[in-house]
Amino acid sequence: MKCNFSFEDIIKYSENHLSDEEKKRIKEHLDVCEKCRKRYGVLKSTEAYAKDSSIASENISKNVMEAIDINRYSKNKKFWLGRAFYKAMPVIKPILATAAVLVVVTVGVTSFGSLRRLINNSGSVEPNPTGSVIDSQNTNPAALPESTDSIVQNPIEKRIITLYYSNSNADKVVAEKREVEISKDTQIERLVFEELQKGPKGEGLFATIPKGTRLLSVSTKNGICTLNLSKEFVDNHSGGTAGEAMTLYSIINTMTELPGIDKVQFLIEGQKQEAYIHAVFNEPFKRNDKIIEKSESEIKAEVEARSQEAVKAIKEKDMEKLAQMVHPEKGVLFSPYSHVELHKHKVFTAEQLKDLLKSEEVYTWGEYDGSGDPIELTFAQYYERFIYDHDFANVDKVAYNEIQRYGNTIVNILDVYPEGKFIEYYFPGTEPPEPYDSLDWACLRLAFEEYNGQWYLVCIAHGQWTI
Amino acid sequence: MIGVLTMSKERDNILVENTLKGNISSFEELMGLYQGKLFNFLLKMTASREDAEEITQEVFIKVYNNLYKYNNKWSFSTWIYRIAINTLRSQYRKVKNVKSVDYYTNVSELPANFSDYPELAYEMKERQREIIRLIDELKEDQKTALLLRCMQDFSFKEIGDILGISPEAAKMKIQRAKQTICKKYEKLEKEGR
Repeated sequence: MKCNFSFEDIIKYSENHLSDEEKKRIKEHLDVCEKCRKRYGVLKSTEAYAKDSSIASENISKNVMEAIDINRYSKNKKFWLGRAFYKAMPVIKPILATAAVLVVVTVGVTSFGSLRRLINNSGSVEPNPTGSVIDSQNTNPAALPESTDSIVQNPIEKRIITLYYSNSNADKVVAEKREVEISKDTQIERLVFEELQKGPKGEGLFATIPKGTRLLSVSTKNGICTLNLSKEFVDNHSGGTAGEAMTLYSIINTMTELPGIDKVQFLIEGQKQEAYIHAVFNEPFKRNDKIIEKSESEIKAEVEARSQEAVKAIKEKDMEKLAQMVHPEKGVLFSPYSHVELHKHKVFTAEQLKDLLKSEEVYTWGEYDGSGDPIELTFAQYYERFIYDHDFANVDKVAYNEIQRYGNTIVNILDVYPEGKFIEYYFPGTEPPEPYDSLDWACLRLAFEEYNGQWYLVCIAHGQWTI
Repeated sequence: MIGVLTMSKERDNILVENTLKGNISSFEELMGLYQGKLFNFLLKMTASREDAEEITQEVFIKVYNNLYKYNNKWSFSTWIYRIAINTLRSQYRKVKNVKSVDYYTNVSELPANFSDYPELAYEMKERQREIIRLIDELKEDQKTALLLRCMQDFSFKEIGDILGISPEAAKMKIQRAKQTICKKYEKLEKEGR
């Protein structure tokens, strides 16, 4: 007998996924077609078997309750805290580093007072009568060859200048470009300085020059630009090391953008001073590029390049090379799973890392995700199992600061290292015909933090589907 | 239907959070809600009561110990099945070939309704054990998808989440599983009688 119905039709019928009309049509067919009828029977029996349920033994929950530590979460609030308030948690730094910061701050505060007195004293002992005189001398004896040439050719010229302002953290200066008009008799240095004084146009940027500051005179000689400023530059400064650096480097970096200027010398009311607020002030300052905030794309390029070096060193087991990339203060943390736990996972310093691969010592690296048993392995064993278990250096999927696959575990690397950036090397897992196509995915995440202008490795985290 | 799902999702999340706050009876409640379903799923996956019981226990222990890492981006029900499947994979490999023969003989009579076709009802009853064997012999992934779909009424999306595949791929696996069972049954019939 000819059968016009497909397997899918019978499946749909058995699943009750058809309109009444279609159902009727197939029902009529089943009445006459034995083959389809049997298929229907088998499908229905399959479903019945799947749905059939036996009663589970009561021992299951009893045994579970005996096996688990029922006080795991009540005695230990950190699980709960860690879950809800990652962002509020400060990054735990090695105790030594914290202590060092405290010392610096204390010294800073004491010297602040004495330096301040020193500056005030010199101001009152030697009142500067020449201020207004210098103020009127606006001519620049050491004319800048490049700018002067162009000024001579065009009485009024439009020019793009780069100004630096403080970011909101007062730890970096940010460039802001601006178009200005220069007339023939204007000193470019004065124009730029006064433009800087007007403050930023962009959001999230802050002016740095103390209120009331006047540029008494300016001259450039042998690459050194000398800015003679009024005493308000000192008196009206809000103080603080961070604010001071912002004030100085926003000016220095702005001035050194001009051709022919390499350094900046400050004078207060015509005099060299020993110190500004904390900073030594009687020598010319060089430009500081490290204090300039980088753009996101610059950061990305840097981290990617750095990570490529790191993953290569890991692949080649070049521990010397890897050790050089380890964060000098924080060391590097090894996390066997996606969930980084500062209190559980091992941290090694660069020095310790160098010979670790040869070490026979068995460390506890955290807990196996499933059993909760401690992971007790030598570094060499840990390396094989939880660092380079796939050829991550040659995977196709490499992501910058984004998580490609969540798995079932909270990926908290960005919460633990909020200042950091990470690169994720993702191994997608073996393809079918193995069952559960992508359950054996794995990834390696390398987190970096910036320290003195360089990106250092702070965390090597392995990710996989485990529990 | 959606309302019920949302409610059970919320209920699960509350129980999870309470467990994490140290309220152990919330965990017992959570276990009570899932233990039957999970056991029956594992029973069919392993075809052995002892294995199923053991793995169910292990899954709950894992769930408890790792609960603080549970990402509520997932629904708890898919999370727990994912853990179950993973446990099964690592455990099952060891016991796979030692299936208890008792299992097939002890399956109770299935309540399939074929009232319109008395002779079909008879045949299916006769051949029940063979059909169960066919299900059992399916490729692991097809069997898992099929059981999740038929037993738990998971959506294709949820099954995809559990298996780490797309909803379309999940649907395909279930379709193939059904076809395989029917084809093998037909082959069996030809050879047999």
